[in-house]
Amino acid sequence: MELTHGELLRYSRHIQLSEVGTTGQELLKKASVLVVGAGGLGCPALQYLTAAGVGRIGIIDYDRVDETNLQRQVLYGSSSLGAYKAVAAQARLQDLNPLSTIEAYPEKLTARRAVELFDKYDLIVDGSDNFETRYVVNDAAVISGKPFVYGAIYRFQGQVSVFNYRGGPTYRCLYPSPPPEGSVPNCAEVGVLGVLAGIIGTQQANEALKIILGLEGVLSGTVLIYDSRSTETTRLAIRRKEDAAARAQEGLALARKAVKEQRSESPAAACSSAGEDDFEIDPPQLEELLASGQIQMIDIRGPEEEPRLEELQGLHLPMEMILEQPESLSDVKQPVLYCTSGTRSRFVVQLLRDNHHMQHVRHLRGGIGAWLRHRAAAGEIR
Amino acid sequence: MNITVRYFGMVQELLSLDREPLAVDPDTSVKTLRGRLESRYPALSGIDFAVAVNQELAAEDTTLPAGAEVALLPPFAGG
Repeated sequence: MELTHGELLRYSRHIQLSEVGTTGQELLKKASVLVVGAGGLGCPALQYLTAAGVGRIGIIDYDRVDETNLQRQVLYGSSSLGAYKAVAAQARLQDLNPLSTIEAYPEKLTARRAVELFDKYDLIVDGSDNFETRYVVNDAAVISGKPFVYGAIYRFQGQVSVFNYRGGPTYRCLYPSPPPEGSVPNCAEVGVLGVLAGIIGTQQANEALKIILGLEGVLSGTVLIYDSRSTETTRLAIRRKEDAAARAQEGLALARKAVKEQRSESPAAACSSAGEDDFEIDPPQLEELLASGQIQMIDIRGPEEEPRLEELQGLHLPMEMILEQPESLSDVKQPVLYCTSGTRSRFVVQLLRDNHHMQHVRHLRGGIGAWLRHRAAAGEIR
Repeated sequence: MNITVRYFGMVQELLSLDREPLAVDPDTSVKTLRGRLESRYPALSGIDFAVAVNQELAAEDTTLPAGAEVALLPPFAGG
């Protein structure tokens, strides 16, 4: 695949590097990369991979751009609000480098479709924000024999590694199975320093480029942990477990089955949903309840978490405390638990209902985020 | 014997601590240390984390050498 004069010019700063040269640039042109998730990690990774001249880039993300993304998801602007991320990113990247082919998949990466999709690309970059997708990425990559560049962030810290590279370890060799749902908070729940996503996503792009260029030092067999506060980097060695391939097969089969069961259960679930969902309160409903003065708001976030909203003021009982002493809520009339995004409060309410027969406990669906969105929208109408 | 324990991610937040020295019995395994930390810090029970000993991911039956640096690394969700 020969480079044109235009390409020789555009990529001249790469080509000047003896480690890249025209041969390396041709490898980039021939290469194809699928980026899963066009969020905090996906945006910077996509930006550098596209600028670098990777020939074909796929973006899979079913989410749409909202205000809370703009603090770190640098491919989007105010004009992208409401658009599918995959589609908005495609437009921006196509402008960044018209010589690359950018493919957008505004859909969820399902266990059913992942292997088929991965087969079309040389390399996967995982910038997903939930464990369900992370395990699908791992399992499908192992099954289709593709290396994948892993990145994940938590507040001020990030992890980076290259998995399934030339028989190297996989994500399941680090974490054999997903943590219980709701037990590990995501960015929406605990926040994240925007630039950390930039640093980790850019590291992922760096690893992807090294793999394509056949350079030494690919971060396989090592998990790198970066802390943006101390600027400290820790490297932990990790080995492939013998059952890595078997676990991937088993994991993907289970994920496919789970989707099937969800589908076949859905008609029954629809019938009982009126009763089942009683413990969830939407922002408009909450507004009415607050006016009635009949409910007791309970903030279950940590003592330092912000923002604190005057209209939601009430008791402050951090989640850990409630889990240790559930009976502390027995005598509270009409308690409504809330947190940042509704993940933790739903987890706690379900636990209290299922294990402690506390059917009077409810929570704010979507948490403070949904409340702010509701109020902001109401404010704009007025 | 003495070891150092380092905490990452959510564990660091829960304990408000990024590292601490700890005295343990000789022949302490990763599993024993896990149990000990969980009883010292009840917030840790129910939380998944990988354990590394001297910068290498370690199995539950790994015995801690004197002076070991142990790292508790919970999974990160964000992306």
